[in-house]
This record gives sequence, C-alpha cells and structure tokens, in this order.
Amino acid sequence: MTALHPGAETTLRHQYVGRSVKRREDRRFLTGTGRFTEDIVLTGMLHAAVVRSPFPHATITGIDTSHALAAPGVVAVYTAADFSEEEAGPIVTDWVLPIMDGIPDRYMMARDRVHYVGEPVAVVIAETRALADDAALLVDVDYEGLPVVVDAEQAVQDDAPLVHDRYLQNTSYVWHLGTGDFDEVAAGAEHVFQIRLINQRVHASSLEARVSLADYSPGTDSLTFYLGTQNVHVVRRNLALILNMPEHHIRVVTPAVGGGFGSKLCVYPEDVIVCAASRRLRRPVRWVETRSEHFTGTSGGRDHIEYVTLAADATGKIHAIRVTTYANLGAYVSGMGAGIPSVSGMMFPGCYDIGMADVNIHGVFTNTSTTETYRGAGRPEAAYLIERAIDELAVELGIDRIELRRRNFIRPDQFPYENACGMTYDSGDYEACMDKALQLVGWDERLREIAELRTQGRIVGIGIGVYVEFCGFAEGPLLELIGFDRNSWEQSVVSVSRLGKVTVQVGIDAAGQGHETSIAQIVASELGLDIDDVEVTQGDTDTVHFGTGTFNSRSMSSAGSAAKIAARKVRCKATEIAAHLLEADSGDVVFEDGIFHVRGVPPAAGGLTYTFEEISRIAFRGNDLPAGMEPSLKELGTFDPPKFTAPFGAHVALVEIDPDTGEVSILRYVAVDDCGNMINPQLVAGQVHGGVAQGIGQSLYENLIWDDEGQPATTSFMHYAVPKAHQMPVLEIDHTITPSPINELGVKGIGESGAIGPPPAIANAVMDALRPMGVRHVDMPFTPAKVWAALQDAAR
Amino acid sequence: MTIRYAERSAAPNGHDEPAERISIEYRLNGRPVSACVESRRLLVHHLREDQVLTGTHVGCDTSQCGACAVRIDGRVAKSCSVLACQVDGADVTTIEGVLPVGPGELHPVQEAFGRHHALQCGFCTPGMVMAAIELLESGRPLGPQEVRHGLTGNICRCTGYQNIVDAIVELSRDAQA
Repeated sequence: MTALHPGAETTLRHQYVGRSVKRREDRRFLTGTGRFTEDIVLTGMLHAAVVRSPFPHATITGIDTSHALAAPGVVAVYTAADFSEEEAGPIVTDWVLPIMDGIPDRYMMARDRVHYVGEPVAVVIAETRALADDAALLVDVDYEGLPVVVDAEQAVQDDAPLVHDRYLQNTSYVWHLGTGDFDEVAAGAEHVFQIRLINQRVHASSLEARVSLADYSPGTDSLTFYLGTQNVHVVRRNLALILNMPEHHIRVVTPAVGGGFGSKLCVYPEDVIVCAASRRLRRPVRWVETRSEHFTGTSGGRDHIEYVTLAADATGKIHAIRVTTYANLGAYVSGMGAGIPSVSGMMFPGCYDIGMADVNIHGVFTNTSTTETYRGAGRPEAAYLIERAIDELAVELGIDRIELRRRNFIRPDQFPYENACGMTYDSGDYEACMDKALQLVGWDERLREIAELRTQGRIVGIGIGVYVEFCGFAEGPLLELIGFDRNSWEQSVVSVSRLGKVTVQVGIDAAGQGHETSIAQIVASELGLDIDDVEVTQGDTDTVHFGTGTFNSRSMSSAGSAAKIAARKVRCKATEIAAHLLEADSGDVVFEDGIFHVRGVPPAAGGLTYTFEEISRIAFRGNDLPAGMEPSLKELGTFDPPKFTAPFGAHVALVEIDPDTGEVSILRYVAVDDCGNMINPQLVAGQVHGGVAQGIGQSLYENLIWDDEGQPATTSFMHYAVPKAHQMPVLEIDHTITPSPINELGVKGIGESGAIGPPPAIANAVMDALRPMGVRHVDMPFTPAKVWAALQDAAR
Repeated sequence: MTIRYAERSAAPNGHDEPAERISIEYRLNGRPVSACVESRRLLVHHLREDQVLTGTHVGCDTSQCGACAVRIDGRVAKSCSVLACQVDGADVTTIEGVLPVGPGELHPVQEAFGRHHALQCGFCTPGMVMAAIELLESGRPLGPQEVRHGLTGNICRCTGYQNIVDAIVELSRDAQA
C-alpha cells in the first residue's frame, strides 16, 4: 500500500461511501440530452449501409457493385478486394487460448467465403443513410452454397461439415481442468448421477444498438473514432493493429452508451469498415446498426451443451464432478469469446466443497454469429449446471435439497478456498446467505402452501439457486499464460485544479452503471471534499491515459480501488505541503473536516489552518513548497488485484404453471446477494434488478435461434422476447455483506450477479412444479409451448 | 392530409428518381414548424436530424421498444412508425418539450425517475417518461399492475422496470391524495 505521509490523523468531513447518493448522470438522460454516439453529427459525414450474406455458409463467386455505384448519392461501394492486408488486416481478438491452433482470420468483409448469415460482404457509402440503404439492395453478390452446421454437439461429429477449411475439425480446443481420476472416485461412490443441460444462446440486446463513427484527418494522419464501447483503450490498441496505424494517432471516444452488458467490448467488422472507409474517403463515415443487424451480427452469449456427472456417498456428500461442455463459439473468435467457456469451467464446483473435478470444455465453430461476453460470461453457465445437478441429485437420493446443500457447502473457515478447478474464492458464507433467502421467502411455509395447492390441482413449485461467481479479473501472470490479452490492473489519475476542484480519470467506461457518481463518492470521501467538487472523466483515450474498461464487474474493485489510492496520494502530498507551511512534522498534521492544522492546536484554539483549496493554490504557485517537491497536485494510483473476488448469493423463485397454456408465472422472487461492501446501495439494487430481469429473460423467454439450415429465426424484438414490465415479478432483494479481502474497499462486484441467480432458481422451481406431473426434464427457456408440450407428453 | 408515394422510375436500379418531398406545418414543443420532408422520411429521423432533437431514440425499428415515443396531439406514438409528413397540422411533443417551466426545471415524472433510480443507461428513458406522463394524465389511480400493463409498449433492458413502476405508482398516489 502507498507509503507516504498520511499525517497524524484524518477526520473526513464527507463520507459518501456506503450512501445512496443520487446519480449525477440522471439529469441529462431524463431531459433527452444524453448524447449517445448517434447524436454526434460531423461536417461532411457520410453514411454506411452494409451488404450482408443471406447464406450461412457459401463461397462468393462474384460481386457486381456497378449498379449500386451508379445510384443517387452513392460515394463509394467497397468489398474486401478493395483493401489491402495493410489497410485492414484481420480483426484482433483479446483471448486466444494457447492450446488453440490460432484463430480463423476474420476480416471486416468476407473475402472468399461467408460463414454465417449476416456476415458483411460489401459496404455502400452514401450522402444519407436512406440512399445508402437504397443502393445496398443493388449490390449483386453470387454465392455457391456449402453445407451447414449450427449445433455445437453436431459440429464435433466426424461427418459434420467443416466451418473452416484450414482446420481438420470444428473443435477449436478442448480445455481440461482438474486433477485426479474421476472414474476411480465414482467407482467408490454410492451414487453416480448424470444430467444433460442446455444453456441456450441468449443476446444482450442493449436498447441502443451499435453505432460507429470514424473521422480520419489526412492533415495529421489521425483517426478519431466515436463508438459506444465498454473499453476505449482496448479498441484503440486493436484498431491500431488492424488498420496498421500508430496507436497514438488514434483517439477513441465513447459518449453515453445505451447499455452494453458485455456485447460492446470487442472490435466488430463494422468498426473497421467505417475506419477504413473514412481513411480512404477522407470524410467522416457513420454506421448505425438496425435491430435486425444487431440480432444477427452482434455477439450473443452462453450456448453451451453440458453433460454433468456427480459422484456422491450415501450421506449426499459430493466427492467428484465431471463435466463435458460443448461451447458454441460461432463462426469466428470474437473478443474474449474463446476464453469464456474455459473460465466457466473454473466455477463448475460452485459453492460446494467437492474434492475432485474432471472438466473438458470443447470450443466449437459453427455457422452462426459469434458468442462472447454477456452479463455473467461463464458464471451463469456454471451456476446453472451445478445448481440444477444438485437439485436432481437431491431427488435421486431422497435428501432435502436445502439439507443437501448444507452438507456440501464450503464452510466460512475454509476461505480463501481453492476449488478443484483451480479457482480461489476470497471470502464467503454461503449458508448464512441461503438462510437469509429462505427466511425472506418463508420457505417452510411456502412448502406447506404448495402441498395444499397441489391437492387442488394447481401446478406450483419453488426453487433455489445458490451461486458463487468471480469478478475483477486478476492474477495477471496467470492470465497471460492462458492467452488473455488484457490487463488486470487499473490506474487512475486524480488531479486537483488551482482552485481546489478535483478531476478523476478512470479507465472504465460506464454503460449505465453510474460510475460518475460512485467513483466520485470514493474520491470525495478520501479527500474529505464535497462530492460536487469532484468530477469523473472516462471514455476518451485523449483524456484518460489508460484503462482496460468495464467488464467482469470490475469497475469498483479495480478502478474504484485505483482512484482511492490516487486520491490518498493527493491527500498525502497536500498534508506534506501543509506541514511545510505549518512548520510542523507531517506526522503532527491533522486533516480534519477539510482543514489542515497542527495536532493539539485546533482552529478553535486559534491555531494556524489551511483549507484544501488554499493548499491547492500554494501547490500550483509552487513558490512555497517543501524542498524538491514538484508543483501542482496530481497523482497516479495503481491497483493490481492479486486475486479475483467471489461474490455469491441465493435466489428463490416461487412459480405457478397454467395447465392449459403452459405459461409460467413467477409468484415470488427473492434475491439475497453478497457483493461485499456497497459503495452506493441504490445503484447496487439497480444492478440486481436489471441483472435479475435478464436472468428471468433467459429462464422464461429468450433464445437466439437458427434453424437447421443456418437461418436466424430471431431477428427482432417480435421474435426475441426480452421481458416487458408486466412480465416481471416484484423483486424482493436483500444482501449479506462479506467484505472482500482483495481490495481496500472490500467490494466484490455486483454488475453480473443478478443474471446468474435466476436461471437455476427458476429452473429448479419449474422442475419442482412439473415433477409431480411426471415431467422429468425441460431445458430453458420455459416458454408456454415447451412446458405445455412437456405436460402433454408426461400425461400420455 | 394525403400521403403520396414517390413514383418509381423504370430504370433497372429503380432509384433514379429523387424521392418526392412534401411540405408540412405543425407545432413542435409549442412552436410552429414548417418543413419540407421526403415523403418516406420517418418522423423519428425528421425530429432527430432535421430538428436536432436527439432525445428521441431509435431502439428497434419495429415499434416494440418505445425509445422513440413522442406525443402527437396528446397521444403517445412511436415516431419510428409514423411518417414525418403525417404530422402535418398536428401538435408534437418530444422529451425536450416536457419541461413545464424552463431550463433547470424537471417535470414531476423526471424528478420521480431520478429519485427512484428508475434509469440506468438512459436510452429508453425519454420514451418511458413520455409513456409515464400519458399514463398519469389519465387521472385514474394506478397500482403496480396498471402501471406494468401501461408500459408494455416500452422496453427497458437495464432496470428490470421495478424502480420505474415505483416512481409512477408514487406519483399516482400523490396525485390522488
């Protein structure tokens, strides 16, 4: 930790951390002045319309752009052939596992062959978007169809069509985790239980789709790129590599972002298209994604087929877990897409003290769009898998599902705990968290009610999901070993103006999380200042020197910690200046309620004092500073998390199923989450609400679908059902607080937890309701049609 | 008001003729507007690009999400599904026009949304506010279920709706008191 001179004692006037401070972001969004990427208009701006493949797998045999070029308002029509490798190379990703034989080249537009419906093949640049759209219809592309595979488990079969010719199989990698001999443990176990689960493809579907605006300046050979992204510096680096431009000639600016949820982390083909086109045309070029382009081109998440085997003794103690996962990567590797299934495997043992694991994860190419980071990114898949399996094991063993969990939980005295897949959990108390959820919902009383209702023929059930996840990407050296090409550390610069106002730079990029407020809470508290004297800057590579962005619920634990360290350094320097002026040892200087004075000589006793603002002025004048001290007040704070944090929680759902329609209604929903300390409880609650809504969406409604021929079937909000207000239950949320020992703030992360709890809780509730009806298994989403069909099948 | 469509030319690409333009006059946020718009221009694009009122957003293109909601003659309408030429003679209000007093002031619905943390990324918010204002103007008491059903035309992907519902229910309760 920072070894400066913190002064004798500090009493901070303002303590904002832990309070529900109102968001300073709200006014602009409430008044329609939020300034999203599409709101930016540049002089001479051109508009791009992308021509896309209607085929999931085909060879391009010819492209005729002449009609499109002749259309009104068209400035240029480009295909891949118009750009050299130097102008626009393959799209760079952030995570290639060392066991992968590289990744298939993915260019901004397909070169010879298309691999999924929606892959860009040409672009029309015109004076207006409407004219670009008109002309895009006139681009004539000839295709020769090729065989198609869309399902990951089918794609690994020997006779499956090959998605990429350069490989001999569609399996990009098989990632193994765990040690020991599962078969040996299983041979000695009283019970060996197996289940197959599908964690279906879902889609973040932020309400703002993607928008990219590139502005190349020939006079300086520089590029300004406006993009709603969760990580400006990662985009800048990747663009520099793709476009062969010096990194410092690229500025990436992210204005307000209309939701990200993991889908706005990577560089997409259209980003490269507008940059390359702007460089060629020397005019700004903008592309605005339609919702149907969003569903076919923007990465989705999940899409795992999982075989889970548990080996348990007669008491229900689980001794080993074996999992084989077929993870659908899509047609290419996008961003962090390849790594997500592999880290998912590290969480397969969940909250349970399971001695051995044997995990094999198959990353598989198919003729579908790419999968990637989506809220939870690997942990929802893991939690669903272990929580579904343990419920079914309980049924098989005839042991109460709550009791079975108690017998297997990792105990509080076991932390830090390394699970059988190599992941270390920092702190936790899973049983206390579960008990709180059970108490909140009135579990035993609900069980009695359910028994009574069932006698009346009602189809009701209750389910629980207890999860642990990991946040705050950590252990840099380990990450590098597994091919993760991003930083785990964050830096923050806290700079004070001559008049004592504070600006905090952070390398995270909010998409609604409220960082401008929460980071200001941390820094204002550390400096003892009014929060209105602290401004937070993010989302611009010109004003923030570096950052790795907002993902993995790391913003508070990583950037918040860095900001706190930087602010403390500023306070320490201010204390040294004050000590110099007060002619005292810095160890005798007290910083109390925003005022520096000498210990034992408080202002009330007529002692000499300096306010923070006065110290700022003196620091900037620079004429009366301790010998050798540089003028001004500006400090860099770095935080590199030594380990991941492990948030956890217990969610309970009470459901009823309509026997006539199969519709599932959630009667009660209780979520008890533990994210460690909370910077702003109201923002935490908001994150839980939103996450649970997306988790309920996955459980009941959402599924991104391709038919067997590779045609997408869910290309609008008419087909892809995100929950609406009337489909959401009242969320009853609460917390336990187990501070993380990993960072000084004691925070774990809350951005994704909400999306992790609902699928197991709801699936277990639905199966609890359906089991008495004779239904053995249903996969998500529990749509009326699927549930109704299961009821009919069981009744036969 | 007659909506005419531009004649298509017989040229192979079908787009040689410039699209027809139509003159319209209407009131926008209380002020008279005269404009000449392409016959096919959507109201949302006219508002965002010609009138530079970018608070109205496009979220889905297919009138599911309500991010583009504005009020036309008092009724909430999805401006992605209305042609600009259709508002000739109408009274249009966008999020920029809901302020009752002036700059610095917020509409009670905006205040309540802020108080309840009823917005996160803010992209759906203008449409939500427009929908909430119309709901509340009905004057009938709104319980959570009425509010939830009243918001089926608006998608929010961030908040799970809970705080939005709470904000509107509170305003309705206060109005009844």
